[in-house]
Amino acid sequence: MPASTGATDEATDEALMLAYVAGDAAAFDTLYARHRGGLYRYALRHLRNASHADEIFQDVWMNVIRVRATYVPTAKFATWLYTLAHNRIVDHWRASARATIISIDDDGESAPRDEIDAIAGVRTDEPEARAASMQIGARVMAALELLPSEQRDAFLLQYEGGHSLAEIAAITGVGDETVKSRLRYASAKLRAMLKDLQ
Amino acid sequence: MSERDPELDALWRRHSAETPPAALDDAIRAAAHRAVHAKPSTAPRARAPWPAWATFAAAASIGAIAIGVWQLQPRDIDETQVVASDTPARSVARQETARKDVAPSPIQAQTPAAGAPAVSSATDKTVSAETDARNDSRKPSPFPATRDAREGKEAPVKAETQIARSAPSTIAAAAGAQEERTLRARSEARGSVAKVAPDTTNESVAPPASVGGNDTARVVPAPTIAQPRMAQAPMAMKRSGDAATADAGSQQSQAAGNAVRANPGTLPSQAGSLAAPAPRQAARTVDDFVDTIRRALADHRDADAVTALAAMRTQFADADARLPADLRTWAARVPRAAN
Repeated sequence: MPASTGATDEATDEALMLAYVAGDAAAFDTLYARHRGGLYRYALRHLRNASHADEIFQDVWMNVIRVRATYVPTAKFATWLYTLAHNRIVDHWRASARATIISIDDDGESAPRDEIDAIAGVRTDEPEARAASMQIGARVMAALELLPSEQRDAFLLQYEGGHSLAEIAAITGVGDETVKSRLRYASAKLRAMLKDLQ
Repeated sequence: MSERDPELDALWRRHSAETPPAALDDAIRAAAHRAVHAKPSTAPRARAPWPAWATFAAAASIGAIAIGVWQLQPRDIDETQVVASDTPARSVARQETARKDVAPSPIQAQTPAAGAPAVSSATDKTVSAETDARNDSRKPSPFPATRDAREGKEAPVKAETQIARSAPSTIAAAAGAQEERTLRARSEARGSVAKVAPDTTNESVAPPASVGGNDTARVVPAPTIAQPRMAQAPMAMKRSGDAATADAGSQQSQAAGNAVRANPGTLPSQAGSLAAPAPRQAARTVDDFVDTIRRALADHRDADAVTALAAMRTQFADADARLPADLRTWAARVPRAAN
């Protein structure tokens, strides 16, 4: 990462973006450093494929660069950034026909029990020789993959993007209560699947 | 349940730490830097970058257009100037004069002046045409060459028209006299008129024997120039009507006065011949005959002298009596014609 001034590090995302729009390339570096990990993992967790995640990740940032002139700081930069990523992922799902159509009223409470059992089975099949962290990480990721996409999306936006309920609602285009419900169910399932790791 | 679960959050943070590849980071940062350096988003560019060759191309185009316009405009003026210089009026008039010296125009020979013998009329018209053409060539004219050249060619015929046009105007006559004086001076300088006059105007130019030297040479052309106007005066009067008669007389008188004032060496008789009014034309014609005869005899051109005497006898019944005493003896030896 290129060296940046302290003022740039303390600036908000919106200020950095405006600085970049004005021609400050270092502001973009700072902004990119702040959001590169979370956005990449958000795409990776959704797509479950590194190459697809790389493609989506790069497309999102290139879109940020391309439409920077139209950027208006009416909302948080992170919200705008993850909105771009969310829409891009939806488009990817639609294109690959991998998207699972789930009703917005489905809170995932009817998740099949066998999936959770399968996670346990994965855990038991893990070789002893492998590192404990990798075992734990694999279990966590497997547990996340068992979540419905909306719950997973809300969970990732909260834990990876650090967004609030309102921001998640804005990104996903649903109401705050819906987001709250999705987050509640997602957390409950993950705790149930990973309670032996906590 | 919107708050994060601390235990789940810690577990998640421990096992979710993937980052994009370094190559992807570099590509995205490079793209961002290129975009900033190109400045495509800060403000829409007013125009595309101006290539270096475009400046030279524009300058060359403007120069070519300017040169083309410049060449077009003066070319039209130059063509006019070339026409003017290619057909100088003076040379055309001179060529006409030389041609008339060799052979008088049939029109001149066949167009008798009113009240004048055929020979005299032809000679007078030739001289008149020559004089008018020369005068026209010297006049500053808005249509210099072509018009003058054309007038020079048509001078023998057009001379009458010009005289008729100028006859009613006294001022024009005075100006004509002034121009004749100028023409005389220039002709002396060239010597062309002096050479031409004895040949072409035998009967109209007759320097008195008593007058000689340079002054004579200056005076000689005066009758050759003034007389044609006199000879043409009846025609001008006839064409211009009766009102022109008085004007023509006053014009001739004024022209004679101008000639005398301008040339102090001019003899009174010659001045009279310069501006003789129409009623005195017969007496003047006798003088012309006398002068012609004297010159012919002086040049040992007896045939011309005899011809002039015959013409005088044809016009005047008492021609021999009108002759001076010295010529009367000579005329007595010349037999009269049968008719």
